[in-house]
Amino acid sequence: MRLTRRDFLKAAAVFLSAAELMDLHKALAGYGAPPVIWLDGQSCSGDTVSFLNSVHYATADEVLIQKIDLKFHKTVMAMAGDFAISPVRLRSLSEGDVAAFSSQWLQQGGGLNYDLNKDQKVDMQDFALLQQRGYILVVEGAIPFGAGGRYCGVGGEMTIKDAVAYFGQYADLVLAVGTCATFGGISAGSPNPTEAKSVSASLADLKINKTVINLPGCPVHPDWLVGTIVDLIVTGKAPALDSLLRPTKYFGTQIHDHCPNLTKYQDNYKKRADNHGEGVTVGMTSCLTCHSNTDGAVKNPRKLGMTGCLFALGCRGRQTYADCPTRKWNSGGKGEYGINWCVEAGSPCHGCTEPLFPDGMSPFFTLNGPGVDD
Amino acid sequence: MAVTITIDPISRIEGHLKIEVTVDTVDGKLQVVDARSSGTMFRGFEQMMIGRNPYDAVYYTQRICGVCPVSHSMAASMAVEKTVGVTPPANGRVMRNLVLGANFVQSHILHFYHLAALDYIDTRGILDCAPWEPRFTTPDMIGGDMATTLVGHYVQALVMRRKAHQMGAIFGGKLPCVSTFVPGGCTAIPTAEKVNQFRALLTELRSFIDTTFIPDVQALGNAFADYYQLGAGSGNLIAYGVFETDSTGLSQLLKRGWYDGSAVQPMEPGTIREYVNSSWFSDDCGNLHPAGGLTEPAPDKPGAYSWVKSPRYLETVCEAGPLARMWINGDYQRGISAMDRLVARALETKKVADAMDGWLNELTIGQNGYTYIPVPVTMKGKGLVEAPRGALGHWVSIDNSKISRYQVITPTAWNASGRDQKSQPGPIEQALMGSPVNDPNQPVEVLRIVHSFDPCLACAVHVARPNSRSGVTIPIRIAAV
Repeated sequence: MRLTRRDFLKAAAVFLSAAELMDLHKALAGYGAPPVIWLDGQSCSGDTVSFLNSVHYATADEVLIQKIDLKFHKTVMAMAGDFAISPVRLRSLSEGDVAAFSSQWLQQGGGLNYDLNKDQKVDMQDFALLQQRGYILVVEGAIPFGAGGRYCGVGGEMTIKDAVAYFGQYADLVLAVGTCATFGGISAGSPNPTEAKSVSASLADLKINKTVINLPGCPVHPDWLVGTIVDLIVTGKAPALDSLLRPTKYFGTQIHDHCPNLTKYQDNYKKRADNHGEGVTVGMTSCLTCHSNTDGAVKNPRKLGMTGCLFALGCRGRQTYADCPTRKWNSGGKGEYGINWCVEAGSPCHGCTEPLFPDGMSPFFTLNGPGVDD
Repeated sequence: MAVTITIDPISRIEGHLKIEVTVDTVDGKLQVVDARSSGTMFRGFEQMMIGRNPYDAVYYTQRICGVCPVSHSMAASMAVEKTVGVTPPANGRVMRNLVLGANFVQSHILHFYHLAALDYIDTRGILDCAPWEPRFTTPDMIGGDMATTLVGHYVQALVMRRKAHQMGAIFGGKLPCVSTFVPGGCTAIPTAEKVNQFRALLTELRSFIDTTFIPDVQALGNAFADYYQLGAGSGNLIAYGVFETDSTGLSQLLKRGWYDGSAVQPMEPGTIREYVNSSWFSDDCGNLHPAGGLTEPAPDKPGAYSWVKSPRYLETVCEAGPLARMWINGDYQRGISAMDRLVARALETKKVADAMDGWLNELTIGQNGYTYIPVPVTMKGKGLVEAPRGALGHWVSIDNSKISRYQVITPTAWNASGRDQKSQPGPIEQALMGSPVNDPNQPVEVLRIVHSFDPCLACAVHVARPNSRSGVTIPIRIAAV
């Protein structure tokens, strides 16, 4: 007997609390599972690993089992091998080879799941049928356009550029996950040797007009991703986005404005005005000398490994939009916020959710040492 | 007739990997007679690092790999510290060890349950939906109650590895990709509350390791005892060592060393060389130490078939990873095989997690863990550490306070490398040779052996090119879409 998703709950029940089980059942009764194709371009898989840390809105297994129908994801999927048998590759085989292979393969059973047109072959025609059902395309990593796209393959002869063109044109919606996918990020860092581009820029280049939701972050916060997916399933439409196509729910506020060190920062400005006269207002370039004094005149010694405002150490919180100060990272449970975040751990914000990251946000630290004037 | 099986992509790994094996009948049975591994993604970190602020390397190189970012930030930090001769305060060393240890624990749990185990368990009837369907199913796979139990543990392990990351974030700021590592130590400050939070999570994880993880791996070993005889590889092991246990840097929880097939020897990093005989790089890039390494693509080079260089130690083919570390440390020397790799990885998880409990006691509450180190004007240095999947080295040159050269040798470069100047195949290639393949359409034996190394390709590989090899190939279809 083949078990259903519902039956799987019984297997999982041993490890889940009653409250978690109830959530699962609610989800089961809910909105169904839209197909998702997750493509991995020039990435470090950090967004996938971060997704696995999800718990605030739903855990990774709940998302996979209850909320989405993840058709392709290289890191978590059971199957290996070509997921897109290119026509080129098929032509390189004799008809006899293909026939022998297909019959052998199809007898194994698993492959038949995707023989949607029942022609005893799993190929792009089956994919075309799948796309009629509609699906969400998730792209992690940047898309290299250099060398004809050959800097990144996804299987067989298909490059990530080809895959984004192919799967992008039929997708209902495209989620660009992580800063490489949203803005180019680390992969497009100077001198951008592979001509890496963001998903939006790639689709524009490929003349494909699709709704793209950008979920930046290096890596993406699991809540930004899972929260957006859950909202998409519940509302059936894209959430409110800012001019950079980021959901305002998560990227609507500046790190700086909600920073726990904001008061200390403002005190430093006041000190600057006292030292240097009128005409100094918050928002102007900071006075690094004031920030770096360690004689007690300012509450903000310019040294790592201490508490206090990190602005003078290179913090990019004034240029960066994300809800890290309130949401924090690495939550421990349903509805809970995270256990820590960069600034709370004494490290300046590097601006990783912004298009300027990394080149325009570096150097990530400005270090002149303890008590050393600029 | 010999046939070549191409598996592309190898799933359930980090990065983009293609494996080709040639299978032929030997003594009446199908087995692998040739194996080649190659990667299909290139980002060009070596070029991107040039001209950057040396401190930025700690953060930039973390993005080489989202599964082992902590090891990259540790290597980049240590490269500066070791060269300028400044030791972080004890709190800095201990907090960094705790964060790195947390990532070892999460990576090892992730590897066994979520990357490797599906090669051994028939999940049909238990997990009948994507991404667990479609899948290979072979008669030797575990079914029945044991499969149901292991799938339950698969779900539980997702929770445990998440908690391991949560634990690491207490002193790391966030995970994956930590924000507190810097040359000179760690920017976090331990409080009593943070230590308690850390210990509570660690206690839960240690219990999972003792009562679930290790018994599961041992049960798998009993069910697949033949895998103690398969996937032996090169027989030489290398470890740079990791988790310094005092400020001298001389004492490590997992020691540095080299196993030459008969005895554990000291390891002298100056004798590492990278060869490019089977790699699409110009001959000038070959036979160089990484401190002077070159990366000049030569995509039409005759005879080459891989974009991974071939690092060698004293011209020997060395395997890196938990088995290498545990063997060199004297903790596990049962044998070298696919199953030994899984077992050693689980036992190492326990060793690290148990040690972490002691490290927590070494923290001085309220004291920071950072010593200021100015950006060096000129420097040539190296940071040698271990990633969960093996020896990781960063070699950096600094001129005019900017990075002028950056070379990384990852664990997977050791393990997934191709033929060298003496035509010696790399460890994964050697491990595959002679492996049975009972059904060429479902080469699960190949996947089990490849996965036992926990390959991590994002950083090991350089550039892709279309496969132009001739001969009969069988594309393994993933009916994924």
